[in-house]
Amino acid sequence: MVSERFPQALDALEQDFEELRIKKLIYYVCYRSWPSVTIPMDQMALSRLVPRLLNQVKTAEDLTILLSRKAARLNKSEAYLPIAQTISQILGPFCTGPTAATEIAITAEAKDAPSLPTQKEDHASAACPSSASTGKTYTIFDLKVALMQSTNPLKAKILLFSALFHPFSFCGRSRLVEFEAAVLGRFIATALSSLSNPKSIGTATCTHGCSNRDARSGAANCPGYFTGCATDVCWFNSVRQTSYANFSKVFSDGINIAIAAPLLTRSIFL
Amino acid sequence: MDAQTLLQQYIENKFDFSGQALFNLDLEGADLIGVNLSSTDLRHTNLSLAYLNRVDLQDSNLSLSNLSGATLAQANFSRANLTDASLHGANLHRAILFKANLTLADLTDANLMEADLREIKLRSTNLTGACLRGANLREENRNCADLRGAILRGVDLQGANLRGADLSKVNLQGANLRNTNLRGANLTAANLQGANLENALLSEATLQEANLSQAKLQGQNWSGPIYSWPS
Repeated sequence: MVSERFPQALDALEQDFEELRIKKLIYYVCYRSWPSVTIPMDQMALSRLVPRLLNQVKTAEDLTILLSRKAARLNKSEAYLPIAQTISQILGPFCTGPTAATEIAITAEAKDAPSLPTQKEDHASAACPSSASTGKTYTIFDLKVALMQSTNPLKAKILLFSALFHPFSFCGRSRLVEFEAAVLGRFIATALSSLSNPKSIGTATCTHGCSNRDARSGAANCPGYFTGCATDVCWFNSVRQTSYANFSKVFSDGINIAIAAPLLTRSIFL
Repeated sequence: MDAQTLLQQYIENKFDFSGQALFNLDLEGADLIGVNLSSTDLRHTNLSLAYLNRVDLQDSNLSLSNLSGATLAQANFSRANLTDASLHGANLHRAILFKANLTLADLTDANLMEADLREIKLRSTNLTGACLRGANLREENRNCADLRGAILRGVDLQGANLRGADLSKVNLQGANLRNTNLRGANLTAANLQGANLENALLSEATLQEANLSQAKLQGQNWSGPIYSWPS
């Protein structure tokens, strides 16, 4: 059984002279935030972090890609890339999907007295739907962080606003009152609640008179597309259809941060 | 210098614009990544949605400028004047705002994750919905970040370092202060209603007259901080 060798793998990581950086990188990959000095020691235990890491990947290749990408984004990427490689080499054999991760989690639990990470996140004050597939629950704060790590907060806000209410426009510099008044977190919450009532999503109409029925070509066909108004109403008209489809997919599965952020980013830069 | 000249010079590989008078320019959506704009006069300049990663803006004057939605990751704003500037939804990830003056600035929904905010002036600054995870606001040389009158409703300060910070009378309603270092912080009469203080470090913090109703306090042992419920 793969889990039988798991304690040895943990020992190998713990005995590495870069143990601290190993923990920091795994924590960063797991929680998408850099560990601060205030984090309790037990939360930095490899027996907690590794099962969580393995739960995010299916194959050894996935693990290598995930760790390398994250390490490459760090300021000290030259120091962390070899560490990513070390982790991949040691933990690669244990990447056989969520079932193995669960098994490993149980093994790790038996090894260490401190409790293992529950599938549920530590805080869920602004409750979001939980994912049936992963059992994870995230707060609005967590999703917002994931979005902010991938894209500009204002663009994410404009996209959500356009998808939920009506197309946003900078034209004439007349900011919309409801846009200014509400915060990104509220738009995320509205997006979540709108799933139960998809008809509440407003229909966009183009101010330049084009029908804009084709989500992909609509913006380019619009007379307002090349007017220099960078965030043209039709541009959002075109992305909102695609983006809402993506949002629906993401939110109907529960919030899966790993896919929500890149989906949003792609939607925004269509 | 006008906007067109500046952008043309940038295309021609000029990166040093330090000390220039660039006020009132319209540079919306401009790509000026990595340029040196230190000690420049950028008052009233429109830099909304501009790409300004790693830009050097030390000692520059950006008062009343529009930086909403701008990408300012790792930009250096040390000692810059951002009074009354708009940074709505700006990306300031890992930006350096050491001793910067952001009095009356709008930082709604801004991304300030892991930013250096030591000795920053945030008097009456609007930080509603901003994300300051891992940001550093700790007291330095007995000087702490000035947050008097700042609006911090729904702000995300998870893992941030606010050691010794003056947060008296600050509105932190619904804020995420999980794992936040608040050692020695002054939270007198602060509004922490519905805030998440799980595992926050509160030793030696002052919580007199703070509103802690509906706040999440798991992981607190109350041995160190001075606290009291509002009457």
